[in-house]
Amino acid sequence: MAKYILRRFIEALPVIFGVSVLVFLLLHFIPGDPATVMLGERASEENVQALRERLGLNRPLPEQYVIWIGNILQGDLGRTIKGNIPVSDEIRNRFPATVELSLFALTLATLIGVPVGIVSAVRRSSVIDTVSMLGALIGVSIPVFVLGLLLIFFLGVELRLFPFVGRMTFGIQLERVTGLLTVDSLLAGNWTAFQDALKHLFLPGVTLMTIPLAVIARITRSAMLEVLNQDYIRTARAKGLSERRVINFHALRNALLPVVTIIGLQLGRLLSGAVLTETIYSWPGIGKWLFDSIIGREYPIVQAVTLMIALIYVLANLLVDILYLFIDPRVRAAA
Amino acid sequence: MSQAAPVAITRANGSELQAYSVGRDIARRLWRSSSARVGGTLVAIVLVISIFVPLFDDYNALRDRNLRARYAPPDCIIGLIAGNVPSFDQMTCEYPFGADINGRSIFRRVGHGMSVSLAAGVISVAIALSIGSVIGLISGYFGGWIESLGMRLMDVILAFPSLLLAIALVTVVGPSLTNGMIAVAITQIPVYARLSRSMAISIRNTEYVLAARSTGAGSFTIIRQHVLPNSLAPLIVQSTLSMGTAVIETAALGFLGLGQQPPFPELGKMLADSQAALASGLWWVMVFPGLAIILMVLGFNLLGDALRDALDPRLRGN
Repeated sequence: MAKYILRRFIEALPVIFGVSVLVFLLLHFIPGDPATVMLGERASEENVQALRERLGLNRPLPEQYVIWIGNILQGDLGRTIKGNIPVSDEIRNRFPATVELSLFALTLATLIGVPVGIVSAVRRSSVIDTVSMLGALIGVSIPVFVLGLLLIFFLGVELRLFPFVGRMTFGIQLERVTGLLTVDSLLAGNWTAFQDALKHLFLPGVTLMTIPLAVIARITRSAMLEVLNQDYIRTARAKGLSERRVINFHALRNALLPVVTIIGLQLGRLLSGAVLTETIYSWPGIGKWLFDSIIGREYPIVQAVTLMIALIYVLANLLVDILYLFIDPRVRAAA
Repeated sequence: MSQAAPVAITRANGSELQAYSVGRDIARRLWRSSSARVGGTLVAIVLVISIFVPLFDDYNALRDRNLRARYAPPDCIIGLIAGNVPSFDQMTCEYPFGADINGRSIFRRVGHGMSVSLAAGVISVAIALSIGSVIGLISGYFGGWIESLGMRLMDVILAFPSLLLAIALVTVVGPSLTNGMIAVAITQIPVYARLSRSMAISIRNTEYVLAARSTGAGSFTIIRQHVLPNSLAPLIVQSTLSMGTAVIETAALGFLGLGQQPPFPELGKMLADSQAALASGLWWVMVFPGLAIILMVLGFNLLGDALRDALDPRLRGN
């Protein structure tokens, strides 16, 4: 088993290398001189030269790559052009906001999507099945930014049910421990702050949740349908087991594999969906920062954030593969 | 080689047995599926709007400005329903969907925006399809190091969440509709490459390919005449399914300011601009471009699902 895990890691290495090369080359796709583009046309020649020096743009390409990747491996992601703040500090500040939002969305999507998928499969062609699958179809067809604006307008502006800007009402004091405001407020025993944080999470969370929810419900349904046709389900029923037992123990466990895969794959979608969601809700996470950096032409930040999200995505897929070992004895036997 | 003449089989009662036709079978299956009918209708509506609006409405985005009509509410039938128009007799139809911050008719801009979105979707899917299938067919047919190289390259692109890669590419190359389309296309290449590679692998050892090779046909002739035509069905299904994604992603780039630049109409950009109006309750600035995107994506998703079921029943989700 350890050998299998190691092999999967080694297999992922070329992809990780390729990802880093592509992200590195991004800066060189800029038409013209990157330093001039970043600082604007009116920048003085001295400043442009200094930035060129700082980014190492005067050196040969392979050397640039080695320096760049070496710095990253040591945790140095460079500094922002405006403000000269270490990029890694800013990521540490903002990452918890994105994690909190993504986890909230993924948890909700799983908690709702899996049961809906199971019920749809068990009560196939019933009203529940038709309605939820129609809902899933509409769910994947509504772009994040359309849904976000609709929710802001109806639940935020018209009904005033939820706040739709930022993570917490201005003025609430909270000591930072994990950076996840819901967790921090509970740790501090600050009930008001907890409620406030949860309320702020609601609209962006629901916006981000919709597509994963729809995908999870659809996959769970089709995986369950496939399993429910198997002989061992008929056997289980034939020996007189209760339907609940057949569904929960015999069918669900065998249907889990594709469901786990798809939940893992949603992580990447959540992180890139976060760019749009965080921008709409002014959520101070990585996605919003990426958007601000695009506007501000802070290309090294765009590079760093892109690299980080891609690496998380690759690792998430790897983790899912390894998770199989624990869920499915067949995979374990093959490994 | 001469084409074999179809043999007419006559039943005992004198009626002629119809020769089995794959095309007719597919058409019948499509017609029976309600998602194909709904999706097909939606796509047809989108096509009609996208083709005829630019044809008959000469729209000059650079000159379109009427500050007196700034944020005018919808008139016409929607205005009547929403209560902006007091009675049917006083109904005018100048701004059926209302006006935006510059007093521009949202109705017209949604029409032109849909045609831009559709064109962007079609072009980016076409780019992805042609490049991806060439990479995939060659990889699958030749195998060996060519395949390894091609597929590892695809793995790298797939390692990025697609929208993120598109954002990163457009950011550095410079925001424009064309660059947005190309970036979205690049992120979709691996889908087609993987699909056509698997088709090529299953076809390259069939007897008819062997027969073609024994008559001295070169590899590229075989790929063009035998492998490609036999891989078309799944590629077409995938293209329809990707249309929805391509429309969403180009609109998302527009929303982030990385696509079509103002003042030209584009649905994503219109939605981004509507954010300022939302807090004042000016819903029409956001609702109509939003509905237009949903309509397009829903249509292509429904049609793609139905096509997949009709062309390849094995892929069906149930």
